[in-house]
Amino acid sequence: MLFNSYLFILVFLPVTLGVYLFIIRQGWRKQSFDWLVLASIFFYGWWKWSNVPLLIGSLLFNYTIGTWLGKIAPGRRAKALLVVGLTGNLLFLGYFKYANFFLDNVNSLFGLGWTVTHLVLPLGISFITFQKIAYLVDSSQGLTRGYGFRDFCLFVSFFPQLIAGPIVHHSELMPQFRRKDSGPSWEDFSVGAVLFVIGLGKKVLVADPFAAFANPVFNAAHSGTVPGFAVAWIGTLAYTMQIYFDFSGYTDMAIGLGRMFGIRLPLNFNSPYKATNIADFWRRWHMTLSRFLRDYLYIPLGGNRKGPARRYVNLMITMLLGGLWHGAGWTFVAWGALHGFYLSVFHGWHEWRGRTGRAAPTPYVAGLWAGRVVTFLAVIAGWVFFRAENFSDATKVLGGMVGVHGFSFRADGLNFSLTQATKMVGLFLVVVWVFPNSHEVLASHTPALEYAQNPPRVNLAPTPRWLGRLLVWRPTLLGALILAALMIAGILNVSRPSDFIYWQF
Amino acid sequence: MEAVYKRFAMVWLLTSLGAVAAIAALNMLVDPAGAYRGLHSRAFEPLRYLDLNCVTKAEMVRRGDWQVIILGSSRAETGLPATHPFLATNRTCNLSFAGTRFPELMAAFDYACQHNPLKHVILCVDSYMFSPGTRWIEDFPESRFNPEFRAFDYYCKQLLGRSSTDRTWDAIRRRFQGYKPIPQDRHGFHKHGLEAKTSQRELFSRVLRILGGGYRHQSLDPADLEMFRHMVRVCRDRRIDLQVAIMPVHALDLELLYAGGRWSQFERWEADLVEILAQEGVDGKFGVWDFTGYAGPPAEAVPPEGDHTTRMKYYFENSHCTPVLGGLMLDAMFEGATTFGIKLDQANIKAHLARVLEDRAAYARTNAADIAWVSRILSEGTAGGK
Repeated sequence: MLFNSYLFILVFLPVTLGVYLFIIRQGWRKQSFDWLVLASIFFYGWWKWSNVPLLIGSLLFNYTIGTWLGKIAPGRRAKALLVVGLTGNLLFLGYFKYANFFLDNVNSLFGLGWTVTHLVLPLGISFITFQKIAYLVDSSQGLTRGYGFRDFCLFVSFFPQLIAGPIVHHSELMPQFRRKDSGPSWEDFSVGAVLFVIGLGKKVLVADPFAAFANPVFNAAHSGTVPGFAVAWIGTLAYTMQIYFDFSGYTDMAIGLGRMFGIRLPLNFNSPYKATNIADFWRRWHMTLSRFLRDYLYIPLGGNRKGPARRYVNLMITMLLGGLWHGAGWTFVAWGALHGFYLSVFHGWHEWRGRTGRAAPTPYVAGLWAGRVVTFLAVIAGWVFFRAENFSDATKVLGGMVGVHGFSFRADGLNFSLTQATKMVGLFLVVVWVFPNSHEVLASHTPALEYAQNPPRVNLAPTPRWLGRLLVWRPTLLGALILAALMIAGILNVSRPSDFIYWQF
Repeated sequence: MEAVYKRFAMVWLLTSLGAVAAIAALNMLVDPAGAYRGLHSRAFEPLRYLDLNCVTKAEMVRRGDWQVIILGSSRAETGLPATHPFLATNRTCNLSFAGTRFPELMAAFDYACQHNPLKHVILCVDSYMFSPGTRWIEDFPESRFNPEFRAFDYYCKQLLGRSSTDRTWDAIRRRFQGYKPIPQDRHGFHKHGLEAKTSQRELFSRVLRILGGGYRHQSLDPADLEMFRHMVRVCRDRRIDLQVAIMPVHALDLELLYAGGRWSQFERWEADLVEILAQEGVDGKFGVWDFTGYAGPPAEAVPPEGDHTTRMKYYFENSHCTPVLGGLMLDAMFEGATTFGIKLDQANIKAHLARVLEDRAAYARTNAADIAWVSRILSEGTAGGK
């Protein structure tokens, strides 16, 4: 069930929320969470009922191992048990996500014809697996004691974050399930609704129209047409905008939905195209994935504690695996490798500047903008690999962008106007670079977990202060009418629901 | 402070619900696609089923009173005249879809058979329809033709979707303008026209480029031929007359296949259609009509470059014929006229295909510049298309 579908908006959400509130009103707080578990499993099963036993089986397996790990003293037995748990999860992920990729490569290397048929990737498997791995690792360190099975099930399967994150940490969610207070307030509902509707608008009013510019270019490249200069740029920029608004929209909807149920989810997206360097980009794009990769891969590999050479090796390993996590294909690996390279270059350069005393104590505005533009260009080059079906397609598009095939400004054979696409890209470049994002607009209403725990200092740069002040959200009559208009525009445009890009991961 | 949030939430909820209910009610009353029979307003009946999308056509065919259905692509949608005596004296529904492939025609056929007392099926085919490609076109999966039709989503889309709301406004606007649709704009037919000052040669150039790109990747999917066989069997078993028309594209469109190295595949496809009728024992009763060729109307001269006023009698461009030529097709199939087209059977197909090649040689001699033009278009590379 997609968030941007009639079934979800008109039936699932109202029924789930209505029953949840009704149960709370009866004073049955614990049962309200039972209801959320049931609703979440129904939500998951709607896509493919045969995957529900897989989900339930994996919940039982991980809870059993986690509880057992929490009960035994650290030592060889605990380590062995942790290895069993991690192996089980990685095999589960590996079988469903990477078996065919592995066999394809073996087949092409040795000229074989092995296949695994009828293998359908269970929805959200990559996200769920990471949550469970973090849980098991922390269980082995005694950090998860006292969690009940219902809390664990809800932590993994809570429907707003089940399919495409945020990748929540048990310490963020479990304490919220133990709350005995009266449940979501009107503020929770209002702030959640605002985020949900903004997210819906981003998805159906912005991301999907950008797909109509990006898809023809990449599809044409895949069918053998070499894109010209302007077409290659517009196709790539359109995809750059599509993935931004798609993922940002999904994240807003997920956080908003959580908040409607009185549960705060962590931030996952913080205006990444405003990043002034590539490390900053990864602190803003898919923040919970970056956090997982840092805490459960990069740091255990040694992080930056074993010298500069190991640091770069660790960075590359982390980003390569991060790339592979996104999809079973060499283009994703290349995308990860590219970002690993970017990060290595950035850290090397940063270190050199620090060592030679060239780092300015306060960065200049021009320098920040230069960094922003360079980072943006590096990121969009990466998106070409991320979007392309194979290296040949990626090479064609990148070749078009650098003028290898000439400097044509025509879009022959494509069903869109280059001028219209350029205007739309230009307009939304201003939006992503200058406008405050949804949680900044809602900052005073603690939209996400971070705001409730350690309110971050909201730094709106490069948003002009007047614009930031103008766009601060307030629960006014006008605000409600604007939100209703956006909601109606969203509902009118969900008539052709399209998958969120991150759902396929 | 909770009161402020409560007021905000209530205003948002009630306004949204009110607006959504109003849009739904309006779409249900006007109902241009005819999805809400029994609930929609009769005042809009003449303005219903005018759209050419798959959703509307499926609702139209669901009415259940059609005697003749036409299955084909936009070539049949625009090229067959709704006023032809054979079509006008039978209740005829044009179930043609732009850019369609055979699986869609098959699904539409099955659906039409289930809901209507059909007497005749006019199947207007082109070889590209039998080539593998995306399973469904455009809004086909959203229509009742889709075997995996989802009723809840469907009714929501008709009530709340942007395209249905746009169509509702169109219908309201047309009603206030007193619009009365002509036969060629009703029941799935489409009245096509060329804009003033359009150069038909430029139009040919554009469409030849688009189709040339598509034909280049064309191949024959045996599964589609099996679907055709299924259609033949259903018609035979239900005593429905089936006439298959190979649409009369312009000679230069045919040349895309010839110069693009697809000619033998095209000949084999024609022979396969004829053979299937023979194998199913209906070759005498049903017919495969070939209206393509390099002589007669398909060889009509294209106006020269820079000519923005001359209009061809039989063609809009290389791909789409005018209803004048469509009328000649129907005359041949249903009125016994012998001036245009040939009914193929196993006895005459070889001679016919040989004659087409002779015609091609003659056409190439007299239209050398146009033949060179098509070769140039193919060698320059093309994009998109079928």
